[in-house]
Amino acid sequence: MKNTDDFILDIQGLKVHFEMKGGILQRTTGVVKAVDGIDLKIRRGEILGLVGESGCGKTTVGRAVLRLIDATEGEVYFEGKNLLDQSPKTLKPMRRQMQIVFQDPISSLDPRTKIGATIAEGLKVHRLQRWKQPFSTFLALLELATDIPLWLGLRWLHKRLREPAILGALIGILGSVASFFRALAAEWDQTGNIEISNSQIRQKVLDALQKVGLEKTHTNRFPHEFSGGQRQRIGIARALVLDPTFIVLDEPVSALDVSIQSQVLNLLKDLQQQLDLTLLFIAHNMSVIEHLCDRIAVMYLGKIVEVASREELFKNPQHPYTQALMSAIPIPDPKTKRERIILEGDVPSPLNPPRACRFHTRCREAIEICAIDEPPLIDIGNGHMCACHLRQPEAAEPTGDDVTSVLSEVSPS
Amino acid sequence: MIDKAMQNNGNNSSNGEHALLEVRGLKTHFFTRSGVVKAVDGVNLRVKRGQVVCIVGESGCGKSMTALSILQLVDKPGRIVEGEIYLEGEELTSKNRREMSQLRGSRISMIFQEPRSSLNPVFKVGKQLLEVLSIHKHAIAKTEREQQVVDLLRAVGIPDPKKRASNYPHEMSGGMAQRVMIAMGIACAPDLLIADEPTTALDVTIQAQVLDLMRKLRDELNIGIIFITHDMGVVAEMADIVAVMYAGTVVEEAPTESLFEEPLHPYTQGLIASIPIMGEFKDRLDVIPGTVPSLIDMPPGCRFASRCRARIEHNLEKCLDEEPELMEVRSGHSVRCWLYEEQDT
Repeated sequence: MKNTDDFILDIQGLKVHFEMKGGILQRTTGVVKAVDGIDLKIRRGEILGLVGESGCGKTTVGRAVLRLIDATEGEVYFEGKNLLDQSPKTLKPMRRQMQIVFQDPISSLDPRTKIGATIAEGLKVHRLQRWKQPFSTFLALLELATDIPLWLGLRWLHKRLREPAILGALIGILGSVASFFRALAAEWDQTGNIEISNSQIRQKVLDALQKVGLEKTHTNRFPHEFSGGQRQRIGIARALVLDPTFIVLDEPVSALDVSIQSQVLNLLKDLQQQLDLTLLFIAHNMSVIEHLCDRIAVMYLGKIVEVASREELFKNPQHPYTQALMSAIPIPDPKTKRERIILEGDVPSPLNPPRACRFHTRCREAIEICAIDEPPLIDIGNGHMCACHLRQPEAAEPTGDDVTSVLSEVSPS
Repeated sequence: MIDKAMQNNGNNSSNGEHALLEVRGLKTHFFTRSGVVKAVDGVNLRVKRGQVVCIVGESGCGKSMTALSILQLVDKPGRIVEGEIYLEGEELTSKNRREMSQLRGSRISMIFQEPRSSLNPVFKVGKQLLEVLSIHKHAIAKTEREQQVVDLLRAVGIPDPKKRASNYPHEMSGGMAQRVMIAMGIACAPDLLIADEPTTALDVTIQAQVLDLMRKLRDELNIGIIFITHDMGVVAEMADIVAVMYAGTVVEEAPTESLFEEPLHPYTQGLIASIPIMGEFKDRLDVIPGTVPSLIDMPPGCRFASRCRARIEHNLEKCLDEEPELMEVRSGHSVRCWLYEEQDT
């Protein structure tokens, strides 16, 4: 099932920067580099875990991939098409393939909408409405019709009227009329919509509810009538109703109690296998990630520092940050006494991240070069990617007695 | 670690007769329009000096309300309806407001979950710390108090404490703000520190720092700590004694190692089995079926009966009709379950 070279999503050099505005003139006072150049490929049918501490940019990656946030730079190929190049028209049918489940099930559900309607909403947005068909053609024509006379009219006016104020006003009026029609046309645009009847919608909603373990009678209830775990199931049903192939799960179990969390994790695992889904699972909890994911990417301050398969990463973590992160996790067994790596200080601000390797300010093993040169994310053997100057593949380090090269040599398959 | 704690206890009390804190049959109910919410319904707790007692349970099980009841910070429509709380033999529930407010902060102090929302955003952290000292230690000269603020900040591991004292809460990170809260908690050298999910809002690497600090303070100051959490991993690292709460009552109480080695109550067993443990990959996680019953109309009998697999396996009828008492099954290990009734007698 998992073809190693069949990538459903290919992120190349993705950057998402947020400008901080300040002062009376709202000038840019700083740039938060939430995501600063990441490359990541997701194979079809796998669960990729994206793990990191708060503020490392993992949620921003999830949203930028779905174009819920505009990326500053980079390319995101979904099924071979660059998502960031798509116009609203071409993007809409693609959106059906990609869904998201949010962290907080309470705030992500409308408290005044019955959950049946909440789940059906996605289908209704993507539904082909025949009565709109002639109107949308008409609107498209109207759009053209306003565009052509706009330019002709302006040229004519430019010759006749030498008064810049009137000209400016006319440009404004005509421009807003045109953009009004354009917005209307986009709203009523039916390209790529699906044909579905009311009864089919109802059936799909019931199917989705059944898939996540809820009952038919639940459709007429409001979100407050459900427990936290059930609400998260509703969130998952809402994502499933459009039959997507790819779902971003943004911390779906962080707000849940442990006994409920395990129910939802088992459900996600079952659904992924039954429906052959590809999941991007964003979380800060390493134990949860280990339970669910096939491959794991570790993020630190807007960069990916390590990518490896589950077995490989947990048996043989390479990047000093990953090692510290793992040793910081409390293990529910009082008998395991481990040597703790306690990191000094806090995560630096993404407003002013450290130069070169971003982890060098807190790294125990940092050497001179770490503050000068940024280490690239390279394969250090067995598809284990790591961005660290001290972890090099064997070929680059001829001295065989180095600890890291011995490790990568020993590590099986 | 437990041995060490035991030794400490030995120094302070001979046979555990004078525990630092003893809670007996505590009941805190909320009288709402839709009924009486029994948030805390019969909790017994015992904390000795130099000991960390962890209260663990899921949201809504009453663990935070137990802490607030000890400090008598329960707001209307809730109140303590039954039970006694002894701090070194002194009864607290009969104390009036003035006596309680003298006690709070000086002998018992509390650290809350969200450090940012517990600190006042418009005052410098140094000033907020000074306020605690001014209230409880007004006999000391002001300059000395100011010096103490800096010392406290240094004690909780804040680098450059003099400069940091003039920071506002928003200028600090979550971990730093929680350190300030801890400094505030230990400012008057209390006997008992109650920490209500102090690391839940923090990242794991920062959590490791804060847990490390709290352990150090426990050893240095020889105080008793009630540590409230929902994270079994944190419990395993911090606790000497663990009390597992479910729907308003303590269902199991045991020394940490005994609890993790052999959890007795079916709820504790389910809880421990349902956590994904790093390094121990399982294809499927165990689950506890169903959800917690409503605190307004609790069914008669054992509160966990409706979700309990052991009840069905052992075909116990009693569970649905009669609520079991907390009984000591082996030394220090008590459980509230009918399964262990025969062993007890």
